[in-house]
Amino acid sequence: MDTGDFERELRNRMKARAAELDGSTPPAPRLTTLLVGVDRPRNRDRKGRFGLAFALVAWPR
Amino acid sequence: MGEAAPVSTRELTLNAGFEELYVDAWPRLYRYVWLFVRNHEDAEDVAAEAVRRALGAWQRGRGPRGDPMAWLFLIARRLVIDRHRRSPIRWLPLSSVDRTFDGSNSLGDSEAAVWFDQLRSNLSPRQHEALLLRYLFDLSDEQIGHLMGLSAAGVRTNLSRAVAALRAHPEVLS
Repeated sequence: MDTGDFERELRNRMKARAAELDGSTPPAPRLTTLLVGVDRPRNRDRKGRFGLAFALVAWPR
Repeated sequence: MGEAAPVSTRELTLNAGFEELYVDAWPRLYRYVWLFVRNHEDAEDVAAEAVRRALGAWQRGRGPRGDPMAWLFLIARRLVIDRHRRSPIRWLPLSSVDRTFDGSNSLGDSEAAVWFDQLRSNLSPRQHEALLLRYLFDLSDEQIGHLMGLSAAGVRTNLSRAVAALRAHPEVLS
């Protein structure tokens, strides 16, 4: 297989493999949702940190 | 008070134009980020943040000058690198992604994900990124160079070395 054929085959293979992953691609969120930041991991982290702070304050002594 | 409506309408029109672009670009943007961070939630978060920043630029009249996809990729790439530098979470820089892999990735065991891992393991980080941008996302040498901070000739060198390296591993195509 010459380089040109190899490159073509590589491209096809790469696109086919990526297409196999497409089913796992989340749908595009609505722009308004995205801008508000609902359900973004960063917010989940924030909630997590707040929860930890609360737990430390409320921990029975 | 009476002036609020036209501004709002203008914004809505602006956002509608952007939304069309973004909905079309989202799957590729998400895939691009995922191929480097290899974690679903992180990829979704970076892609969303990239879109949010892109919209901010768009509203300020600083939208893409060329291909919007390359523009979004550049924003996302900078985010990944930036977060890696300052986050306690082990974000993967695009240049060292080969050395770290988050095993918690829900897609990590799929045949396609394993194939991409195999591809990556045979290449340097630069070769790997250039190869994906060229063959998977169909960007030009100039666009890839702009994204990766390389000259077009540098991109071509990385690509030809990547292809040469992979030709020594025919199992990639098996």
